[in-house]
Amino acid sequence: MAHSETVARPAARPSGAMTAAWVTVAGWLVPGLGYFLHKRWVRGSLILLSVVGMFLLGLALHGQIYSFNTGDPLDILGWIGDVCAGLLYFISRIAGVGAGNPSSVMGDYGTKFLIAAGLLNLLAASDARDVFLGKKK
Amino acid sequence: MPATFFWAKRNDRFPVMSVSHLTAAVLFALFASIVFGITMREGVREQVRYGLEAFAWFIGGTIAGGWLLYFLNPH
Repeated sequence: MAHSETVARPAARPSGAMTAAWVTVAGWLVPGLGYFLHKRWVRGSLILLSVVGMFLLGLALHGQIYSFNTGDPLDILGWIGDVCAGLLYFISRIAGVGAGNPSSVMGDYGTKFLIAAGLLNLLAASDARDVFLGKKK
Repeated sequence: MPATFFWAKRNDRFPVMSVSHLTAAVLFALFASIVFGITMREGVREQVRYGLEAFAWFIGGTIAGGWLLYFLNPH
């Protein structure tokens, strides 16, 4: 008797030497790139818009970008959050922006925006990896 | 001190923006909800629904938290 059930089809994987690790790294470095590699243009564009938008807003609000440090645990966590934004973090560091303004309430908001942008980017990169592995459509 | 590009030296700083607390909360909710919707659910319909729910919870929680703080310290 033939089965009529539908079988979940794994997502079309990018050709070549692309691996799950590379997809994750690509998604981390450039927001949305992990989805673009799967030709998920709308998802990738929305992720790109959201992460870059939040990061730029954080800079515009005078948020602080943390540099690598081994001091206060909260500063270390802040740096980890910032690094998760990938190239946005490195470009900002090289450009010398993100000095922050601790005396301003908006500066504090901006700092949180920058960290949140990084964490959202990491979430998206992880999701793109799941799509690559066929764990998610 | 990190290296700086010429435009960073010329302009000295990133364009500064100032928004109200509510606007900042709404923008945060908007961006976070989009990412949550995409990453937490499968299928466009479910993703949109989850994103809207997350947005509503963000905004509702912000307003509720604001009123809570007001009643805790109204002066």
